[in-house]
Amino acid sequence: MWNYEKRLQYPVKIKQTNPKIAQVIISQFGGPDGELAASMRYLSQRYTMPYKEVTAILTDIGTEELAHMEMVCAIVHQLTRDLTPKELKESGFDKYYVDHTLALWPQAASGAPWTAAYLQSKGDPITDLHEDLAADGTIL
Amino acid sequence: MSDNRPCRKDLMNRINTVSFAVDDAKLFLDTHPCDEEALEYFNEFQKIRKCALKEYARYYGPLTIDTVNVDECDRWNWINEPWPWQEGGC
Amino acid sequence: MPNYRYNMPDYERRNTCGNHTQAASYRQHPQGCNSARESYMAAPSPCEPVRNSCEIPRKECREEGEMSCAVRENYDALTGMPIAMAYVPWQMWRRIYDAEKAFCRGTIFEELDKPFRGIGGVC
Repeated sequence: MWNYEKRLQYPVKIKQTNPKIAQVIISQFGGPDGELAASMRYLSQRYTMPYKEVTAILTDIGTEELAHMEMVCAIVHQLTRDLTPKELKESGFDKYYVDHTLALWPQAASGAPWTAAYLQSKGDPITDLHEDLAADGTIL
Repeated sequence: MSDNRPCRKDLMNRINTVSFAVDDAKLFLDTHPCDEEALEYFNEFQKIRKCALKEYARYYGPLTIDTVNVDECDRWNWINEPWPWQEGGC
Repeated sequence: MPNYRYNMPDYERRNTCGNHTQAASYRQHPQGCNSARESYMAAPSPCEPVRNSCEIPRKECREEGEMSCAVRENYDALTGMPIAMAYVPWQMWRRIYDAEKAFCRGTIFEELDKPFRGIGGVC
């Protein structure tokens, strides 16, 4: 069901690399409150919603969260461009680098791998909407 | 290089801004499908967006699969860099 | 998609604990609280029983000056709605930012523009 546009929803142009902060920002990609969890939550819940309005909005928000995920990944990617071994060691990014080099891998800042345990999709519409309120409440 | 074509950065900025308005209006309309003001707003920005996307594709290459034009090109330029997350990308 | 808000008039919802028969019984007892209260107590209701004063609709109480506790307790925008449920106010199409500002702020809706302050909850 997806087309995409060859542009980020908001441009990402990082001028200065910073592997230290990249380690923290990666949580917004693969962490419990990150965009991957958000998009999977909505895109999973939409199948069992009893109203077309809710199915629509969950699909559209899930899609938008995927776009957010791309922006976060772009940020991490640009923050870790062309790092020297010295920079890797000093920033502590070497721990991530040894397993993934400069690739993006969905994990939290702690190193915990992304898991479906970060979201819930129970089939009861009220329950699922409460899950959504709780999850996006961390944003608000 | 022609000086007549619109500035790439300005055009991209317009696409981004207008598309964002379309996105947010779309989300509102999902739960308020009969709201006339929202429908009008969506319509207005959707028109500008379609126009801007066509214009961008004409001068700088397609941003959507629907604005790809293989007649004017002898190769598949969809794969061209920079991709949005790369340096020089959008 | 049915919106519970529109299932009964606001006044009725606020003053009858969502119970249509109660409104009818109140209208039948314009002479006073006690008779209204009797009908109220007799009718099945999800509301808490009134403790020590009449269950007078707020707009009539205003003339008497200070609001009694029971009335104050009942003055809740959600009075009459089923308990043990969470409710979210319905969003309206209003206070739309112009496109450039909206793009900067991350929303076209001024009411949803809630910047992150760093510490504590919502600003």
